[in-house]
Parts: sequence; C-alpha cells; structure tokens
Amino acid sequence: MMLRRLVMLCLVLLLSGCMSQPSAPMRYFVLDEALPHAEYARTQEHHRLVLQPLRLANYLSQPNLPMRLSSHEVYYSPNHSWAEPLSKGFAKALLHDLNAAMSSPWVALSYRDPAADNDTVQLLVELDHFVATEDGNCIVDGVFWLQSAQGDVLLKRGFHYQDELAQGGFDNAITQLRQSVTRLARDITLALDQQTGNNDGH
Amino acid sequence: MTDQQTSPSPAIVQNSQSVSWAWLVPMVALLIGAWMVYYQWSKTGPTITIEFPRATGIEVEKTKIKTRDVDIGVVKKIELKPDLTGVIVSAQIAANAEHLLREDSNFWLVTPRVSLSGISGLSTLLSGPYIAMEPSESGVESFSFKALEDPPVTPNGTPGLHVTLNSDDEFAFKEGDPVIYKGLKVGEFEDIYFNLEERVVYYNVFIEAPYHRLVTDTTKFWNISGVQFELEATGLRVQTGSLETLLTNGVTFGVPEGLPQGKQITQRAYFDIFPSYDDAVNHRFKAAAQYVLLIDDTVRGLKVGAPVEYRGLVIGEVRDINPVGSQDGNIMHDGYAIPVVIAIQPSRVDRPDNDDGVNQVRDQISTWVSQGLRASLKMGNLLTSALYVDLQHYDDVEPAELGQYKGFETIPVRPNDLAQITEKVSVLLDKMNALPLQQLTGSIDQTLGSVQLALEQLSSTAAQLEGVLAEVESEQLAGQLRQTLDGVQQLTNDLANGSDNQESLMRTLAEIRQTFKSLQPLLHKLNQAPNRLIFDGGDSTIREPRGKSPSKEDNP
Repeated sequence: MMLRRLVMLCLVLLLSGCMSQPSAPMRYFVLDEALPHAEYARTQEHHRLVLQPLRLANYLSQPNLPMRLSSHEVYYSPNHSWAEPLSKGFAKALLHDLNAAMSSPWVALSYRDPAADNDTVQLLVELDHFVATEDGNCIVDGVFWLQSAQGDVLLKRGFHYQDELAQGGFDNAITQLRQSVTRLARDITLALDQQTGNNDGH
Repeated sequence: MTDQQTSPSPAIVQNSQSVSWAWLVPMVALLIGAWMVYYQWSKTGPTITIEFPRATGIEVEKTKIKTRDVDIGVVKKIELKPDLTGVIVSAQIAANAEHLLREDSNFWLVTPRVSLSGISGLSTLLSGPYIAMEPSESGVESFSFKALEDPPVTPNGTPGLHVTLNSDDEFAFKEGDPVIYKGLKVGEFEDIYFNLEERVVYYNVFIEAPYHRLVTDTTKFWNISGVQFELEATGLRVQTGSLETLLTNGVTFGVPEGLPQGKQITQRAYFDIFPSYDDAVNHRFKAAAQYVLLIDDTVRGLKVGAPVEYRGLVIGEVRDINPVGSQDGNIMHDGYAIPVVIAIQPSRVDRPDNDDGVNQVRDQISTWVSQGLRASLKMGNLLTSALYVDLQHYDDVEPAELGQYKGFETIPVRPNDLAQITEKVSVLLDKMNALPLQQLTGSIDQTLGSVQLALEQLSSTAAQLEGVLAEVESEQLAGQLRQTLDGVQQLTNDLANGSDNQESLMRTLAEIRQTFKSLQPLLHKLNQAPNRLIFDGGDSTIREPRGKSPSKEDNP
C-alpha cells in the first residue's frame, strides 16, 4: 500500500513538470546576410587578398550570444544563440564587405578558396571584442595584419568601434555589430591601398 | 531545771572505715599492669645465641629471624667472640616458635647471591639481610647454634635419596651442581669431602623424589659437564647435558643397556662417577679374555679403549699399549714389536660373563686362528686417523697358532692399512713404469694432429653455413618489410586528402561537432539549473542589451 502511494506521488511530480509553462523559445542569429559573392576570373589581372583564419577571443567562441554587463562581467543569453560559429559568419561578412569596398584589381578571398595561392597578400584579423553591452553600446575591437607572400609583415593596425544602440534587443545589437564589420572592411581597404600606393578604391 | 536535765550520757564512739574505696583504683591499675607484664613475659620466647663467622649486614633490633618467610624473632645483641674467631648474635625468639629450636635446626644469613646456578636473595636488597632458620623436629632442645656459611642445598625433610658419589678423576664438581636425568634436573651436589688417605673426592648428592626411585643397584653415574667432544675411531662425537650443564658441571645416571634394572636403593649408597657414558657402559662387563698383539708398524692413532671388532661387531677393547716393564726389549731395540693388550669380553658375544665364558672365547679364538683369523690395525676415521683392532678371517695366510707373550696369548697380526696401501701403490707404480709410454706419446701426437685438421674443416663448414643462413634471413626480412610498406601505403591512401574515407571521417567529425553545439545551450541551462529538466526555471527574466532610446520592445 505504501509502495503504491509512493509510485503515485512520483508520477504526479513528473507530470507536474509538463504543466509548467514553456520557457521562452531559442532564437538563432547569423551575422551575414544573403549577398552575392565576389566574382573572380583567372584571365583578369587580379591582386588577391587572402583572409587567413580568424583569431577569435575565447569568450566569443561560445554559441550563446554574449553581453557585457560591466567592464569585466559577461552574460550569455540562454535564449539567443549564433546559428553558425562566429568565426565563419564574421569571415563571410568581412569578405563580402572587403570585396564591396575594394576596387579592381583587388579581390578578397578566403584561405579555403581554391583560387587562393601563395603569391598573395595575407590578411590576419584578431577579434578581441565583438559584443553588445547591457547599457546599449556595441563594441568591436581587435587588430589586423597585412602580410606579404614571403611572410613579411607589411602592416599592423588596431581597430576599435563603439556605437550606441538606438533600440534594445539582441537583433538590433547584431545589426549594429554587422555595420562595424563594414567599417572594419573599409579601414582594411584603406590600409591596403596606403600600403600598396593605390588610393583609387575609395 | 527539769528532770530531764540529767547527767550527760556517754558519747558513742564508733570505729571509722578502715580502708578507703579510693584505694581500689590503684589496685586495679596494679593488677592490670601485672597482667600485662605476665602477658608479655608469657609471649616472650627464649633467647638463643647463633655463632656467625662475621656479622655482615646484621643490625640489632632490625635483623629478623625467619622461617618460611614468617618472623619468629629479632636480633637483640651482637658481640665478638673472646677469641675473635666469629661473632655471637643473641636473638629473642617468639614463644610459639620455641619448639622449633632443636639441635638439628640450621641458621644462615640470607643475602643476595649470584652464581652460575642462579640468583637468590634479591628481596634483601631493599629489606636488608635476615637470618633464615630451617626448623627441625629431631634432636634435643637447644638454644645455642652455629650458623651455616651457605644456605643448605636441600632442606631437611625433603623427600628423596642421599647418595655418595666418588671419583678419582680430576672432576671439579661443587655444591649446587645439578644431577640431570634425561635433561631434567633431579638433584644437586650437597657437599664435597676429600679423603686424603684414599685421595678420592666424595660427593654427597641428593636426588629428589620421585626420581630417587630411578636409582638402583645397577645404576651408573657419568659426567656430562659442559660440551664433551670425543674423537673416536668411529668419528667425532659431541655430547651435552642440559643448558645448565653447559655453564656448570653435572652428572647424569642411568642403567646401561644390557643390564637389568636392579633393586631400588633406599639407603645412602656409593657410586662411581665415570668420565663418559661409554666408560659406564664398558664397566658393566667384568670378565674378559686378554690377548696381546705384537705390532711391527706404528700404533699412532690407537688409544686405550679403542674397539676390537670382529667382522664389524665390537667384541672388546684395547686395554693397554706398550705396557711398562717389557723384559724382551723396548722401542730402542731393532725389530721391536709393540705389544698391545686387547680384551675380548664374553658378554659381548653372548657368552656368560664369567670364567666359563672366557674359556669358551679362548677356545673359539684358538680354533679360528688356526683357520686363518688374523688381527690388524685399521683406520676407523680418516679425519682423526684413529685406529681400531680388526679381527678377520683371511684365506691367503699361512696356518698359525696362538703365541705367548708374558703370560698372554698372542694373536697373529697382519700389516696395517697403510702398509697394505703402500705395497699396492708400489705394485701399481711398477706396472706404470712397464708401460710403453714413448710409443703412446707418438700415437697421441698423431691423433691430436688428425683431430686439429678435422676441427679446422668443421670451422670452415660452419662459416659457409652461417653465410647461407644470413642470406636466407635477409631475403625473408626484405619481403616482410615490403609487405609492411605496402600496408602503410594503402592506409595512407585511404586517409589522404580528398579520399572517400577522409571525407567520411571529416563529415562524421563535423556532425559530432554540430551535435555538441546543439547540446551546449541545454548543457549550459542544466549547469545553471539542473532541475530545469522537470521544473520551469524560477527566474524567467531574459536580459538583452538596452537601447539608448527605450521603446516598448526593450526588455527591462
């Protein structure tokens, strides 16, 4: 008799879990939007800028979207997550913006692109911060290098963008962060032009 | 004046009480005092005097007199003897112990003693020495005693048997040495007496009950002091008694084999102490037929007591070697044969231990000598070179008869072992000298040359065989290496970039990675709140970045 009551109590407790209201649904985000890829043909005389694998800060490698609560505290949203690794999304967005910002004969390629070969300029990007703050700012911070085909460092330059969010929410924050990527692409293009002496692309 | 005023009547004089009642108190006190004096006097025993050689540790009013650890008196006075040969100790004995004061009672001073037999009197280290009394109920009453210098080994009245042992050997037993029976201490030496006339030491020994029943008229006592090493013709023999006799001396006793148990001894009896068990055993044979062996060789290694054996059985012993008083010459004469006296004991050959047995032995020996019986000295032990007398029948000897030597019959003697060996070695050397050694050496040289040639050929063949084996091994090794490399090449192709296997592997890894990423939010949630699997989270607040221009869509 006791055992039967105990089993019934356990069943009730288990079923009560189903009565609870479902938590807020998960939301997944991508950084880059569907945009046309840059065209490249071997017949044309192109200068190739090859984007090397992104160096991402460890706290940005999490799938959940981070948010800075204070100078040193990070909050991961349990309901907002990247749909793909940030390193991939950021690389695609940066490549797209670079190709949009650079003028011919420059073309930006991924290191995985079959057209990328050793006789190119290498672009290395280290991303230290790519995060929104709870009080409504978006911070993008890091360093990029331009490196010759022979391995010589042509340029090293830091970047730091901080923009205010007009409206709250992670979706608005991602939109703002995406615009920072565009600003980074422009700065890289400008630096590349300065380095190669071609300022016509701007 | 009235008639009543008559002349005065005489006064009545009455005697007052003669003794006051107050005198009763001192009278009672006197009676009590007298009773106490009588009580004390009745409880006080006699005063005895004990003569000690010295008064070491004895103190007046402190040193007690005890028997069986019960106080029966105390020392009252100590004074020197007038002739200064000792001290007289006066002691007050309790009245209830007066009946113990007999002339056989013994007194001695108990002090700490350390000896090889043990340690005694340790309790007196703290309490001080006391005078022990061994009471006796025999003898007349006595109040003057002479103390023993040492405690008596055996208290009076102890059940057991007193025996006297004597030894004309240079033993060194002393009082307290043990008597051992099969490893057990069954008695002690009580005192020693040296008879100047007989030049024999007598030992009074007490054997405790019930072991005293083991002492019979056929019992023999022998010495087992320390460790006894005996080099005999049969080898080295080591004998010990008990652990105690390893440090001190001691005797043991028993009835030798072959003797009847005998009647139990009830009164003080006399026994000899034999140097060893063998001596005690040999002593049981009384009758013996003595012969003389005239030895031409050396008698080095032959000792008195060495066995005389007939076909390996001991039938007697050597009694004397080169006895003094030889009239036929001495060792300084050429061709002098050393006389050795042997005794053949009839009891050892199942003959009566009397003259009849001796005669039977003599007749038999006489017959055997005529049939070839000879005596010889043989080596019983190579290590000690001890010799014994061996009687054997020989077929290759000339007929002979018993001879005569100073009243003894002589048995013919064969050369001893060493002489026989020398003779055989000499014959062997002669034979070796006769061998054609020169020819043998030439033949051996030729044979060795042939053997050397064969060995060289064998070495060459072995080298060729080794080369062939090495070639076979290298070909096999090369084939195995080729197969292994082919296998490695196949594995490398399977895992090469772009191959089906590599793509399949990478796809699988990507799927695993994706699955882990999908699980990560759930794991993160569970990590924060494990009960989220069943219950909803208590805090459902979702934090998001706030806009600078807040709207209703912003979260708090």
